[in-house]
This record gives sequence, structure tokens and C-alpha cells, in this order.
Amino acid sequence: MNTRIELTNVSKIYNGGSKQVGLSDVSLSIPSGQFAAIMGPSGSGKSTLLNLIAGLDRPTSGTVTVDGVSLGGLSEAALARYRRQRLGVVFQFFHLLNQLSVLDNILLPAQLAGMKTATARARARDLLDQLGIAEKAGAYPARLSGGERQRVAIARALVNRPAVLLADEPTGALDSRTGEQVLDLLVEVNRGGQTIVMVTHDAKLAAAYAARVVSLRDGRILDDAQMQPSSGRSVSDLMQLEIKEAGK
Amino acid sequence: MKALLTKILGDLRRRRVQAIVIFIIVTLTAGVGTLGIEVLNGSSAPFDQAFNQQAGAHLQIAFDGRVVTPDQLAATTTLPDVTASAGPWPGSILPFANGTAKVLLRVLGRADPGGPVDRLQIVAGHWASQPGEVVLTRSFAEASQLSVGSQLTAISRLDKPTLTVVGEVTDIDEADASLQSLQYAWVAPSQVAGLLGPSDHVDYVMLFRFRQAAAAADLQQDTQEIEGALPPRAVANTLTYLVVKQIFTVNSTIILGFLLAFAAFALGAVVLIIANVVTGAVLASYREIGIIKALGFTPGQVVLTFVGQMLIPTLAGCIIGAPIGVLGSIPILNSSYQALNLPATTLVSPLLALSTTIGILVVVSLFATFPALRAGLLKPVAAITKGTAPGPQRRSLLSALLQRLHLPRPLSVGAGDAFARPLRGLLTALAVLIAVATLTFAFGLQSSFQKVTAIPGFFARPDVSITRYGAYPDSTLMQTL
Amino acid sequence: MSLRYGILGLLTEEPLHGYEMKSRFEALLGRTWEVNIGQVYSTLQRLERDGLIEAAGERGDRGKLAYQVTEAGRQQLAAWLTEPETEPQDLHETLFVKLLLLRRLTKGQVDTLIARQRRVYLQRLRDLATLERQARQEGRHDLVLLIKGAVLHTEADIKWMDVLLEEFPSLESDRGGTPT
Repeated sequence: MNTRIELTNVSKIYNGGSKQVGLSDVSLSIPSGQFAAIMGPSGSGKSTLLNLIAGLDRPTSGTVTVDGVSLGGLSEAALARYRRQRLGVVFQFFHLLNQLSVLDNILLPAQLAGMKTATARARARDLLDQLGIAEKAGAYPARLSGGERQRVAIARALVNRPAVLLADEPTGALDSRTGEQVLDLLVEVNRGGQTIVMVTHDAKLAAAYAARVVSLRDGRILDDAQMQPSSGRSVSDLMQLEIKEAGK
Repeated sequence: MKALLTKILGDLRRRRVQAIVIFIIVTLTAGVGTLGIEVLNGSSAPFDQAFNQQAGAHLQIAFDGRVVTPDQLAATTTLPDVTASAGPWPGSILPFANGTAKVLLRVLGRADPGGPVDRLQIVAGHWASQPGEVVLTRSFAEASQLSVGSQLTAISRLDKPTLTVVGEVTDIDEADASLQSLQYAWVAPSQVAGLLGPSDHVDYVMLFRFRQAAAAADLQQDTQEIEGALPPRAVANTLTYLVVKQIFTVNSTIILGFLLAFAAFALGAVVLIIANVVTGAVLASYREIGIIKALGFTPGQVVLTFVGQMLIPTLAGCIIGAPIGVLGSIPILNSSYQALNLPATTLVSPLLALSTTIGILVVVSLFATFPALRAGLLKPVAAITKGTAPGPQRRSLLSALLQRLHLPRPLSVGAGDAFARPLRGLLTALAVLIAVATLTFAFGLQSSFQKVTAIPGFFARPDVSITRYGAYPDSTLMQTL
Repeated sequence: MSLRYGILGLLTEEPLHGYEMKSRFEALLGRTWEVNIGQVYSTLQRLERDGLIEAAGERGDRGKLAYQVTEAGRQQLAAWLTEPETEPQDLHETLFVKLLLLRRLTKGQVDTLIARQRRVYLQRLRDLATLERQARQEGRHDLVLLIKGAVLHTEADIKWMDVLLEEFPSLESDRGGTPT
């Protein structure tokens, strides 16, 4: 199986007033097609890890390799190219461009990558269908609900068929029902073969939707758990009645 | 690149008002600037063309007839640097009356309007050859409401001989009659003596063309050469073609000055506005810059989105304004051709209009790029998380001062931040400065001009002017008074 | 406690046999769990001893005896129905004891155990999520509510794991002394 993302002995130290450790000697290997969740409390290093994979930041030591490309040796312009060609990012607060229509928002990374207009539009419309927001193509983000905006963001992230889809607290700004819908969409997208790395502080979401949960603590990996499929477990296997022998 | 264009157009939709303002100002700048440059380029062309066509005189010298004779003057024609000459023509500066208006004219006795130097073009009537005939320049005739058949009375003599206008010519030498420089009146050479008053004497006017006459220094040398060949104090006065050319172009030069000044002000204003808009846009789009960088815009592309937003209305303004400027320059230039009776060639240079446009675009790009560089350098993570540009860390001095004044809180809080972002504060101040300067210049110029011309004696005619011409004895004058 | 009052509550509707009580109680909870008939009978004994229920009629065939609620029973049920649960919380001290013993007996690192326990909880969250989805699909909203409760407890357990990771190592070993 292809390894999509490979972190080897990665450390990140921030030079603030006092040195802050973002990550400390982290090694991680994410294979192609996996839906991995990175979870931890704030300050655990999960945002740092995301930024390193996205090429938005450089490690203090160690190597970050995505899709065979080592990010360490790339210039700013080359990193920008890497981001537009191999990465898709979904943010907690959507971060759509409000002055562009939904379709234009989705097309932007495709245009950046040099995709032909006709091909890009077809791909965008496909994604809009797949995500259930086809009728919103001409609308502007300000008129959409949170869930719809996040779907647009997902479409935008997927338009270039990226090697990795990064999701940073994708349901953080959504109510629980909408959040579940969005995550169901991500699971479906993952079923189609898309590698997804989701960063979250919510254990329930990480465990319920991702196939693998990497728990970070203080910049190190605390636990790296493969989730087992849940079929075949009944309620009574998991929860028992509280019937005591003695009464008062 | 398509992505850039999409982003730029999207941003422009958001900044419609600023874009329209920039478009309007650039149209004005391009229009006026192109107009000025075209006039600058073409203003001396009619003169040069006419000069060559009529073999104009590099030097016109009036010799004192009491010091030299025509024979002595003939010697000058053979001087080594002289390539052609005309004259000596007898003449004098004499007073004439046209109805109640009195005017001094330079009378010249010239047999032939053609010749090797200063070929005159007859535009009405014919040359003066008979007694009582006189030829005037067209511009003087128009200005004095004279035409072929009108009469002029020579008041240099008591018997006041009348002359009839039989022809009009155009001459590069004539300058614009409205400037009230000395105008010519040609008569047959034999007639000159009969017009002189008792205290008038004959001058001899000769015209020369030289081998070396390009610069004032050359002409000075040529003059000295001629003086050297003649008795001392033979030369009464000289007129070089360079001076004539300057007088010819003075009107357009004046306009030119104003045009170019206005264009410069407008350009200054527009680039400051652009710098201000871009600075503001960068601050407002802080988070967005982080987002597009995360999506894969390179730093260069980010800078280009801002510069591009400014260049689009600028380009539109140039495309509309520059042709208007070019078209506007045509009538201005043509008026000079008309005055010289030359065919109106549209000597406008489209290349100049293009260079002006490119010049404006380059300057605008510069002023848009500097504030945008900050956007290019922004770290995407910081921009997305912080969302707004870091502001001042401490309360500014201004803010502290204002608090001391015990102004209402909203005032002091707002005003105290005026220089919180120093670059923006400075740009705003400069833009206001230019606006005030332009307005002051425009209004002040007008009122200064009015005040100057209201000074009595400036070039307004006095109510009464008494000049005693040589023919009249003092006694007659005293009686009149 | 729930079986005791569950039976009382069911009996206020009509007198029932033991088996009927078992099946109705199971039905109340949506037939998700099975109740031990022995526990039902022992609960009935205690209720009768406490005077909250009494026999209703004679033993029928196969020894089935129906019970009915007494006035005292009704009153106690009424009181119970309007009172919040004030029993002390279950401690779930098993893990804690395990950790204490682990440290004491082996002087070993407890982090690994805590992490593995955490993993168990993560898996449980996943399983509960799957169940919740199923329950919702089957329209079993009562079950959904119970599952949500379990999820929240599990999330709390995970948070407790984080606390233990942070603070267990700095705990002083072996306090001794008498329980309060």
C-alpha cells in the first residue's frame, strides 16, 4: 500500500518569548486511502501537525514527505504549487471567498492548477451533485447555511483530486446534526479512495468516523489506535442494567 | 492566469466605488497628459515646416541708414558663412491711422515677395508695386478689421498720405497680432521716401541664412561676423528666428504649462489614492490572504491580485482618456497651421499616446506594489488564525494627548488611532495635501491672473495715450493739451 | 433499584404474575435487555416483606401467584417518582485500584495501561455510535437517549484518562491511614 504521508522524527519548536514545543520527535505514517483522525486537547500539537503536512509551516527538525515529495526542500513558491496540486483543506470556519459564487469558489484551485475550464466546470458540477448542493452553484456564500458552506468547502478541497484531504475541526462551527451529515459525507468520500486526515478535539467524532485515531499529548503521540468495525455488537454487550441485589 | 483573474474580478465587484473613482481620475490624467504631451511634441512643427518652406531668415538685421549705405551692405552677402541673403530693403517704423486707431508699423520697401530668403505667400489680392499700395500680414489685417481695399493713413507727415491695402500675406515672422508686436507693411521701394516724416530716417533691413545657425551661440557668432564687415554701430537691431519661434509657440507653451501641471497633480492624486486603497485592502483581506495562500497562491500571485485590481480601472481609464487627449490636441495644433496658411497635417503621434499610457501604468503599478508586498510576505497560518493585521501595541502619543483635552470619548478614541497605522495615516494626509494644492492652484491661478491684469497699465490700454510724432511741432501739441 | 420500583409501578396498573412482570418490564425497556426471573422473584419477596405488595387471589395452576400493590406501596411509589436520584455516585474504582497496585507492585509505568484503557473507550465510542445510528434508523428513540447517555459517560471517562495521565504520576504513594 502506498504511503501518502510520512513524518519522520519531526519536531517543531516555536520561538516565542519562551520556547514552546509544538511537536517533539513525532513519527507517523499514513497509508493511501486511510481516514485518520488526529486528536488531542489544545496545545497537544495537532494544529502544528496539520500545518506541517499542509506545508504551511516548516519543521525544526525531521522530514515531512507527502505523496513522495519531501516538503523540506521546497521554496515558498514550490510549496504553494504543492498545496494547490496535492492538497485539499477544509477549515472549521469554512473560509470561502464571499465575493465569489459557489461555483467560482470551487473552481479556484482547479484554475490555479491549470485545469481546462470545461474540465474544471464538469468536475465542479459532479462534486456539487455528489455533495447534494447542485442547485446552489450560482449562489453566494453569505446566503448559505453553515452546513452548505462546509459542503462547498469540501467540494473546493476535492476539485483537484488531491493526494490528501486535510480537515481542521470540520464540524466545529456546525450543530451536531449537520456535523454528522458532513462527516458522513467525508466517510463516503473516503470510501471512494480519498486519503483523509482530520484534526479534532472531539473524541466521539474521531472514534466514530475515522478508521484510525492518533492521540497527541504535549507534542508527542500518546496512542495510535486502529478502530475495529462495530458490526455484531448489540446494546446489551455494551450497556448493562443496574439491577442490584440489596435494597435499602 | 485564470485563477488570478477570477479573484481580481471578484474583488473589484466588492470595491466598485473605489474602482470607479480611480477610473475617472485616470481618464482625466491620461486625457490631459496625452493632450499636453502631444501639444508639446507638435507645437513647433508648423513653425519648422513653414520656415523651411519659405526659406525663413535665420537672422533679420535692421541697419542704421545714417551709418551705412546699401553698397557697403552688399559686402555682407559674400561673407563665408552666409548661404543666402535678401535685401537691403529700405524702411522705417512709422505711425499710421486706421480710423481713430493709431498704430506703429514697420514699413519695408520690397519689390518682390519671393526671393532666396523669406518667401512670402500672398493669400489675398496682389503685391504692392504702384504708388499708394501697401501689403499687410493677414493676422494684422484680421485683427484691425482691414481687408483688401481698406485705407491706411500715414500720419508721419503733415500731408498724411493714404495707402490702400492691395494684398495680404502670411509670414512666419508675423507672430500673433494679438500680442501686439510690431507688424509689417510692405510698399514698393520707391515709396518709402515719400512716407518718411521730418525726423524719420531710413533703415535698411537685410535677411540672412547661414551655414551654422542651429543654436543661439551660432547666431551670435554670425551676427558678429556681419558686424565686423561693417562700420561700427551699423546694426540698429537684430531678430533671430529662434526668438520668433519662441513667440510663435508661446501660446501653446502657456497652455502646455497648465496642462502638464494639471496632469501631474492628477497623477499624484491617483497614485496616492491607489496606494491608500491597496493598503486598506490588504488590511481588510488579512484572513483571506491566508486562505488563498493555503489554497496555493504563491506570494507573487497574492501581490498580483492587489496590483491587478488597480490596473484594470487604470487601463480602462487610459484606453478612454488617451485617445481623447490625442483628439483634443488636433485642433490646438491645427490652429497654428491655419495661421500660417499651411495644410493641416495631423502631426499627432499615436506612439506618444501609447508611451503615456505605459508610463501611467508603470507608475500605478509601482504605487500599488509596495503596499501589496506585505500581503505577499504574510504567513498563512498567522493570517488565518489572527484574522486581522496586528495593530498598535501601545496607546499612541496622540491618543494620550487627546485624552488630556477631555474631549468626548468617541472623539478621542477614534482620533487617537489616526496614526495607529502610520503608513495609512501618512498616505491619507498626502492625498488630502495634493487635493488642497490642486484646488488652490486652480482657483488661485484664476484670481491671481485677474488681479494682475487689473493692474492699470499692465497690458490694458490706457484711457488716453498721447504720442508726438516727429511731423508735429511742439506748438500743435501744446494747443491740443 | 429500577426493578423494585418498576414492578411496583407496573402493579399499580393491574395485578400480575411474576413472569408477566418480567416480560412487561423488559417491554418497558424495549426488549433490549433480558431480566433474570430469579431476580424478579427475590425482588417480589422483599416487596412483600416490606408490605408494599400483597398476594392477589390464590395460587393458580403451575403455582403461579399474582400480586397486587398495597396502599403503602402506592405511597412509596408516588414518593419515589417525584424524587430525584440522590444515591452516591458509582466510583468505577477498578481501574484506579489497578493503577495503584501496578505502581506499588511493579513500580512500573502506568501510562501504557492508561493509554490502552483509553483505546478501549475510543472503540466503545465507535460501537455506541454505530448502535445509535441503528437505533435511530429503527425508530427506537428511547434507545437513542440511553445510548447518548452512555456516550457522554464514555467521553467523560476518556477525559478522566487524560487527567490521570497528567496527574497520577505525581501522586504520593501509600498514604495509609483509616478510611473516613
